[in-house]
Amino acid sequence: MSREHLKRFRTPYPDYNVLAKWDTPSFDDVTRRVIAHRLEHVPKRRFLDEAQYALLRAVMDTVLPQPERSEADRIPLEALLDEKLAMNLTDGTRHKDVLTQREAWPRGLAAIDAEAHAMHGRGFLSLSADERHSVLEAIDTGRVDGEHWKGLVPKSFFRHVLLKQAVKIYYSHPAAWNEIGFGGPAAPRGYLRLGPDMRDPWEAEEKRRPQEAEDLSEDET
Amino acid sequence: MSAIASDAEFTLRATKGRAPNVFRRGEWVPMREYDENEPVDFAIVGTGCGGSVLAARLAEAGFSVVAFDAGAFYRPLEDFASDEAEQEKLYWLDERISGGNDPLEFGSNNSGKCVGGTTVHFQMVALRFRPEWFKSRTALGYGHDWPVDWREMWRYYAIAENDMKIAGPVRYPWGPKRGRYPYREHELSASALVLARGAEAMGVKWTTTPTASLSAPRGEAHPCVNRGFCKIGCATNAKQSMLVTYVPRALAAGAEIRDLAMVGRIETGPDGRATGVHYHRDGKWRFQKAKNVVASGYSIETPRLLLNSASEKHPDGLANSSGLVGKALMAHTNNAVWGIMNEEIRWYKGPPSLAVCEHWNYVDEGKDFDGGYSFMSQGPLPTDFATTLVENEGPFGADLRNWMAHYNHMAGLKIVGETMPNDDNRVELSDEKDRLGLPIPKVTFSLSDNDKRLAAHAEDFMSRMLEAAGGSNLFHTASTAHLMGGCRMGDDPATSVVDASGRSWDIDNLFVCDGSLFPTAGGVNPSMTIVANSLRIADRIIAMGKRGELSQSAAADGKRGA
Amino acid sequence: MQAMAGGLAVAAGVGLLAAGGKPPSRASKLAAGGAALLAASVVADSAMEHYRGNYKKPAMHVAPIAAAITLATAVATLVSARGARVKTAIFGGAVTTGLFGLGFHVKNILERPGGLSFNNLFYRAPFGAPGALLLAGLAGIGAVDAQAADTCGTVRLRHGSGRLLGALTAFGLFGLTAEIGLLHFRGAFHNKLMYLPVSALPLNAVSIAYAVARPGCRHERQAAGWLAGTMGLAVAGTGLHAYGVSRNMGGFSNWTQNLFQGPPVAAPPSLAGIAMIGLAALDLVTPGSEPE
Repeated sequence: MSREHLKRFRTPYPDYNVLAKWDTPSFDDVTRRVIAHRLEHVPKRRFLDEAQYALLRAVMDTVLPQPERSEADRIPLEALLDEKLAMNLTDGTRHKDVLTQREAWPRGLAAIDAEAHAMHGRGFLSLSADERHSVLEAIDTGRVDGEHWKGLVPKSFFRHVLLKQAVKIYYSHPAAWNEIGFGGPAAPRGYLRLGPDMRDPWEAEEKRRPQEAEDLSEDET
Repeated sequence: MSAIASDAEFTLRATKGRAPNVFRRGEWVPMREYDENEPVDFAIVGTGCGGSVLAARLAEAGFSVVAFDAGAFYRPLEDFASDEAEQEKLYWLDERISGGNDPLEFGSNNSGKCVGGTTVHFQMVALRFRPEWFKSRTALGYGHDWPVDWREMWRYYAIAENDMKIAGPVRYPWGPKRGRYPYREHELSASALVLARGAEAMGVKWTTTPTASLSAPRGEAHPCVNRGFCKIGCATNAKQSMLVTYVPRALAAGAEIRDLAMVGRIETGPDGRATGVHYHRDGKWRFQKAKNVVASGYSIETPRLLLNSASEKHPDGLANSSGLVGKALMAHTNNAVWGIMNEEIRWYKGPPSLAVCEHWNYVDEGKDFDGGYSFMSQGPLPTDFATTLVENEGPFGADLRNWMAHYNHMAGLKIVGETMPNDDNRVELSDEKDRLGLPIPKVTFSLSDNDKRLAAHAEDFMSRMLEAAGGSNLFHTASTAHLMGGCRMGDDPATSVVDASGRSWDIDNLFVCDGSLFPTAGGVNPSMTIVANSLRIADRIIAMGKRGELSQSAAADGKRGA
Repeated sequence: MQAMAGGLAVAAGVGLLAAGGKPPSRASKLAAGGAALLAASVVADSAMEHYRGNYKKPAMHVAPIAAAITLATAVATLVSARGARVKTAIFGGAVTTGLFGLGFHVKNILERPGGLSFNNLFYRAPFGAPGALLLAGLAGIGAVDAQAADTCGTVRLRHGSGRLLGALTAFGLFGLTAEIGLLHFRGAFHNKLMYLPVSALPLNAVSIAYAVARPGCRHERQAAGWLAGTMGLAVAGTGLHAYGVSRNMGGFSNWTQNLFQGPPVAAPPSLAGIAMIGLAALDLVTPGSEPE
């Protein structure tokens, strides 16, 4: 098992702030309205109960830890996900014999907590970051007790529901665009310099190479 | 997604004698309107590459046409944000139940819901079928033959390419000679150069992808500025979707477009012939009388509509005497290989798939499978790539953020792989109802062994190519893209739903015109073939009209019944 | 600092070359004016395009600097007949730089996948820009030569000088036709006016070549008409290219993209430069135009 998750994440683009382009031709009115809403509007908890919500936050902090960000700067994954569930926004596909997202999330969260008890004798919330990581890793590799999951396929829930929803929210946030050096909004102004190692002045500058990536295929068994 | 960007999803725009001018902010074009109680010549359900093309051509030929779309009528310049989450408004997000061994993903993957259809969020890859695929049963020994000669299709491809000002290479390296593309190819991006470099290392041909994005101005449309948000809606109007090509043409020629209008049922009379469509708009169900009805809702909604229109005369659904409505649904395998490059690629810039290799579409030796595949360079936006990464490989924690920090160094090659038509892959109606009371479609899809062998071959070949181009830390992902089939056209009423003109074998004034007509899938993105086929069908319908074979003339009925 | 010191040195040198001395002849002025316009076009174009190329290679600084020195020298040639040898040497330097530039640009095209493909010809380093610097240098040499011929005053010398400048004009016009043809083809001739330069310039080239080949055959007037037309194209082309920029996404308010994305506003003025060289050639071969 790798210790990769204990490394602190370092962005290759420490000086880049996509929002600095707010008043440039890279942003148009409709995009400014949409992004402003995303930044200003942190939805109140509506769908999950308080305990589920706290558990969701702990899970989100394990799959996408943001230790370098203050509470105010943190991307509020649990709040945005709860809103999706409250509004029942779906992606147009409901897998046959698979629970709907409103059924799947509470059940999946409960199962994660049950796995924590089974593995460490304590609830997920009282585990260390390392222990939390090990619980989710066990779920992703299928080394879990199907009993807790009541019809959910652990790995499938973890990847196709939990991780998928988490990254869709996380990488929709300007703070995430900054850390990966994504150009962000680009209308009316797009880009001129398209070749390898070519960068327009309004794109992120890579100050250091990205950290060594753990080989994904090695994980495959 | 929300009223923050625009009111188009909640407010009728094509109404009161006008429709949005897609080329200007806040402006309108005049629109002719038709009485619901006065039968129009054609009621067309859907405005994608089937419906809008037909609407434009039939209106230009003087027919009265009303085209319905369940989605909104956007003005790209003011309604499309540079934002993945916001642009989900372009997708068909109504629930569909997906089953089988390899359940399909809908929504962003293959289904659009707005005027202009799925082309508003397609990736603009504008390829032609290999000629032999139109006779794949006879010439290549698999699938079904199309009831069309490739040379006829070749003529219509040229018209379609000119109508959409496809930007493509001066000389295309595969297949029989084709004329020069109307616009010149785009500048290659770094991600496209990865494919080019890899192809030259492997000794196979490559070319700039013919792309439905303007490389020079056209009328009021701006040329491409390489913003790279093509797949989620072009705010520049460079992308030649149906919304900015055939839809304005249809309006100018006197067709009416009804936005936010969901057609739920085609009505048939006591004689079994179509009399019009029931549609839901502005809070209530309405009925439009029509002399002819065309279903152009693509491979899920067209079968769903035909099945849901069952009547006493047609107990199994309309046009379904063969029992084939909804069957032989196809997708393309979309397997990909991804790797980290030493140089910065920044694949978010420019049209995402600017280089293509069709080698394995045109070479038959060395394959352990039927069919072919093309593959293209890639440029997914952040959440698109992140979901691909986690769903296939499952990294999480700091490792996930670290992987995503390689975003600007990533390159990928992804196939459009042919799948075999199989009657078990199908669209049916479920017992559940949606919010309009319409039955939710249930889709079953499984890959065949042949499809899997094709995908494995592609993964191996592309891995070697990406490595040759300098990629490291390679990983593979599997998914599907596009929809085809479900209402096959053919020469025999027993083995097809409609004839070569898209006319139903069972009901002479009911037509199908969209991607559901495909007897086989081919190894290329389907949009240009759908457009070309729709242009062909339009000419056939116009010719039928001239010969008095359409249902508006009394003589027609007797002729065809036999 | 180095750049500033270099700039000052160049300015001082040019000042010396321009100060005093008698004013040059009409033909020499025209040729020098043409060289100046061409060099100005290259300054703007190479500075912008090499900036777009992020000055990836140090050699990319050479082109705008060489073009600026050529421009200054051409202006000096325009106002004073002094320092002929130094000027010829500097213009020779421009010719050399242009030739090296062509070499670099060919290499730039060939090193990409696809090699000598349309994509690389459309979007990689163009032949036209170093070609224009080459022309500017040759025109400058021609201007100095024309001054010498006019000073000496023999018909033979004047015709010789005129033929040289005429040949240069025709060569330049054919070169520009190829360059414009390629780039307007890239733009799919989406506006019918884009056919105008590619059809007019070769005819102009033939007419000027004919006029200087057989001096005194009264084809000068016709050639002059063509050259005036080319001047008109330069003015109209600049306006149309500016319109082209304005109708791109975001127009001039998105200038950080659109001025580069084109069409290039700085390109058409080079047509006027070539036309002026042609007029200089005609001046030298037309009977009765000798300076007093």
